[in-house]
Amino acid sequence: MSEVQSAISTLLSSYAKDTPKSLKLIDGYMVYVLLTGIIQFVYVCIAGTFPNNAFLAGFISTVAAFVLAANLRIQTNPKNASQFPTTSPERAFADFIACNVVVHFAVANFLG
Amino acid sequence: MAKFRSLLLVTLLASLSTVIAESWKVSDINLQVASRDGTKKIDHKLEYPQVIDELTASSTDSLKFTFKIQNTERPHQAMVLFQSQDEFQDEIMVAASVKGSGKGRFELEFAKADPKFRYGTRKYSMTFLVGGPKIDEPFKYKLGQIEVQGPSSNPPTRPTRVEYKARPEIYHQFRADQKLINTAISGTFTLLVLTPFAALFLLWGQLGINFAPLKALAHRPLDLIAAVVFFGSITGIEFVFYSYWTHVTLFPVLQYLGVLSLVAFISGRSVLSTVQERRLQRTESAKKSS
Repeated sequence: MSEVQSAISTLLSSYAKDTPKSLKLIDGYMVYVLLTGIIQFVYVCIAGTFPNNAFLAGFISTVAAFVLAANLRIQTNPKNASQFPTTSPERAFADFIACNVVVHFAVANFLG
Repeated sequence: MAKFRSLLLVTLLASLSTVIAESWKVSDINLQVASRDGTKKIDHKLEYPQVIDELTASSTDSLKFTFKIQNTERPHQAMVLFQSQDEFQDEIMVAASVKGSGKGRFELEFAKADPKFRYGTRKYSMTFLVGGPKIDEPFKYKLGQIEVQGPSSNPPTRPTRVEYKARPEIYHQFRADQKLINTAISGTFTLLVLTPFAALFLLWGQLGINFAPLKALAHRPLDLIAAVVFFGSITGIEFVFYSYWTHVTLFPVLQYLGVLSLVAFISGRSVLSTVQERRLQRTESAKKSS
């Protein structure tokens, strides 16, 4: 048990030490999106899916935002820079913004 | 000249004669009832107003009817109308064929004719009708009555009378609205869904983000304008999505989006390229210092 605890503590400390600030920013955003999605799901379990399109729009928007943030994180991580030689962090951010705009258009369309 | 005048008179008279209403002249009207083996039971020669009565025919007999049209005009229709003399007042038309010579005839076998003849023993009045378009007044001759006996075995059943009346009114039933959940629960969750913002700002607050580059923007007005335009256009796009959700239709939305996305693209390019420049400068200076 103490091994698990120590493993977790080393994981946390190394995360705090070695991860760049920009990635932590994205991580915070992803945690926020994850929590929002979980709360929406709990609501649906309690209240049912009656305005079905509204639930789908909200849940899809959180899932899509999470996926897009994960992509942004992968592309801006300096350790992955060798895999994306042509994608600068700024380019990745522009893609992130553009994809979010498209997702939000789809979500607004679906909200009805 | 006198010859011409007499010719004119003749043509005038001729045209007058057609103007003076011509009437149908029908002669040689002959009515026969024959049994199935061909022996004549009844043979009547008729003259226009003359009426015959007490004619009888059995269900297997046939009725022969002949006449001759004296007019040069040929009738378009010649028929005998049978009207049953009971409470049903069935009407049966039997058409006669008229040849070019003016001779007309029909033969009616009661066993094979209209099933109305076989509903039972009953009397029919007979009316002979001749008509055509050139002669206004049709020829109408009430011939008299005939009693036709019903068939001895399995007579056709009279179809039940169809009554046309309003059916009971149909009321459209709308499906009941699905129940929305209690507003207290949905309101609670609306607030709950906003709580992750607290987690977001908490996590971001712990990072110790360096706002110096943002502050430095104030000293470079061109970059500041580009940044403001970029974030303004993104906000504008989101606002357009919001109004699309609430009240605006698709096509105006697409127009707004086209303009705003163009602005966002151009301003975003300049903003992100300055960011990239600064990042490259920073990494180079870091390399040199190391």
